[in-house]
Amino acid sequence: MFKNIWNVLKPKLKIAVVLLVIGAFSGLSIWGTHTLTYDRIQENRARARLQVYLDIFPDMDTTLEDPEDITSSILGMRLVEEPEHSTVFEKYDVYDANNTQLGYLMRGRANNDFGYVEVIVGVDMNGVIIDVVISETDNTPSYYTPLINNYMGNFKGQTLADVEFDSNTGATATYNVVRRVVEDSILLIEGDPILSIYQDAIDGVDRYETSYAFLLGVIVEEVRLIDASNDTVGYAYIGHVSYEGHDYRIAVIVSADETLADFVVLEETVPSGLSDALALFDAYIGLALADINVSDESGALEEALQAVLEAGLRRADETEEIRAYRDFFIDAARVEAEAITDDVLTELVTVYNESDEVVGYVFEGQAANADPSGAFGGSNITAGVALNSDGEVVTFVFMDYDDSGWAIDDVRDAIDVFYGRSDISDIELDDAFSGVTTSARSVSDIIEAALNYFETEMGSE
Amino acid sequence: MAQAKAKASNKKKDLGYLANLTKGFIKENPIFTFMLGLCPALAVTGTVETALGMGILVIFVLVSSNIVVSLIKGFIPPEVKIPSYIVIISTFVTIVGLLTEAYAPALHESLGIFIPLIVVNCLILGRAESFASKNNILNSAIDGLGMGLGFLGAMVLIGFFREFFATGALAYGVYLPLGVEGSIVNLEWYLLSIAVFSGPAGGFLVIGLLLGLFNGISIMKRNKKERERQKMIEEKKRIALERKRQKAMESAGGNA
Repeated sequence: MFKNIWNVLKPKLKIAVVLLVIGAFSGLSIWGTHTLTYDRIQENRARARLQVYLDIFPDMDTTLEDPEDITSSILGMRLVEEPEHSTVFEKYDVYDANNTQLGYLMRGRANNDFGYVEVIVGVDMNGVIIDVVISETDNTPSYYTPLINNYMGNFKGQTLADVEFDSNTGATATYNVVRRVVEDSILLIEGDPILSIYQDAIDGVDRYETSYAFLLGVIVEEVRLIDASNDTVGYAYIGHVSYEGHDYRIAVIVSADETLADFVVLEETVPSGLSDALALFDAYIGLALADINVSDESGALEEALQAVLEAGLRRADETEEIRAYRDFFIDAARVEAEAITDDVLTELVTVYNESDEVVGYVFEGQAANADPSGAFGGSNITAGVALNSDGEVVTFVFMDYDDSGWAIDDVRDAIDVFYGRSDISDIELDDAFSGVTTSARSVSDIIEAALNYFETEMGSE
Repeated sequence: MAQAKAKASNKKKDLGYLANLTKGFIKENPIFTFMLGLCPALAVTGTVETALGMGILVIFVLVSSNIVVSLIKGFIPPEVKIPSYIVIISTFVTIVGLLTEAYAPALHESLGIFIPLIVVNCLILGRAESFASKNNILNSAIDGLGMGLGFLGAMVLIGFFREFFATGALAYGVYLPLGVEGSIVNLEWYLLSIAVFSGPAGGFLVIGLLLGLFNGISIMKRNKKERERQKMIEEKKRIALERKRQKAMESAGGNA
């Protein structure tokens, strides 16, 4: 028996040993070469970087801390900040030989779908961009070379307060990284006015990030406010109001102890009419959320602000489960779920409002379709489709999919062809979703299953 | 007698090595005959120097991988032949990449992504599989060198036409660490500066024209050989016919 096992194992062990030996020799050879060339490569990179710095600041003091070592610190470049949560990882103040500050230099780096891009941004003391340079990247050369030749020069001479970015560079992925680094550089030099607003509202806010984008309702975004220890110290719920032809972002800021920390405009300058209207709501600031009962205000602006405040407080109070269903029905207050045995549908959730009336139904389902051309993998979509109490499609939300992102985006762009309908049999997918019919077919299957279920099981109710 | 035999055998062997070395130059040229390694041939032949640089790197990888594959060919189980060759080739490509970045940074920057892409150059895997895995170390090394030189020659030829027509000049010392910079030819003949030759379209054009030229020469040679063969056949036929006629005459005379 052992002989048989050995006979089976022997060739496999031989393969494993041969591959192990080849791998080990490969690793050793690469390690040896790496060790041998490391210092020289670092020197070459430092030399190339120094050349970029000199192209941006020709008068910079290039004296090295150790004149023998090109990788040592440059005296004319003083590291002042190493931000952790930014694409910029080093910020320098740049000086000439007479110790006069010439400007700022930021080194930033971020990844995109094609690899990494390292960007250097040089800014003078007046906040004018001297140059933005891609110093290293492994993105596709045929894309980023025209970007460097034709578009990077457009940053030169622009002021930080009003930078204009190009929208048709032909190298969107690479340029997006450049844009992020430039935007983060602006925040580092000019300071972030939005962060200051959050810091005024809640002590200890170190940074902020968008934590949820709402699909329905007055509040469009939830922003998590984070302290230096990475703990959440509060949330801001962002809505919009229009005033004198301008759109203003309004934040309902709620601290972690569930009190209203502030109700403010997220702009540096606020017109007096708007700040007067906001002052009507100052009385609620500092109160626990449970104790706030917003009284009715009169006037269009005041009513709009009241709507934002109420919606923000409601968002702050919602559970995660209700939040998910409010992407389908903004009035959702309670849900009841039941499993469905169906080829496509897996669950039916009945959604109730605060008066305990049914506002609609959310069907969860999964559909798979093969691409008839065989060029793409096919379409496997898990999604939720919402029908209102009359059985009309209200919205469709993708939960998971194997399809390409661009295909789903194209389907999303045309998906409202299903909305408001209780019968979709006459929709020609080839016309409505040209180029992404396989993905659209999976969406259509889920919607059709939901409509059929509604008609056969709930239509008579 | 034995000495003379050994001498003759050595001479034959030398001729074998020479033929092995030179076969890749024209007769089995990787680019113009086998059309292997066309990706770098299109991508990095914008200048003679980058073409030369890539050619040198390919020679290094080709010779090294051929030697190693030939050395361990008896130990590699057939099921994992290709993965093993790829690991060996990619090891040398990584080494060559590190060495280039250390000692010829301008060339490294210029060749960019095409250095790691040497791994997938069909020429290298092709020689490992079709030659090195069946021959001894010396022959494999010579084959790698010859094929590599053929590849380098073709690359430089393409680079020569592309750079010359695109810029009217042939620069040196820009990408390779030669220590001096300049131009071998600089006609300043701006009418000759046809920018399309520096781009990918120029690569296709030059390779297409050179392939046409080489194929034309090869067809002409083949036709010439065919004509000579036909002539020889006709001559043999004529001699045979004459002999036949002569024999017939002789036998007719005898009868008379």
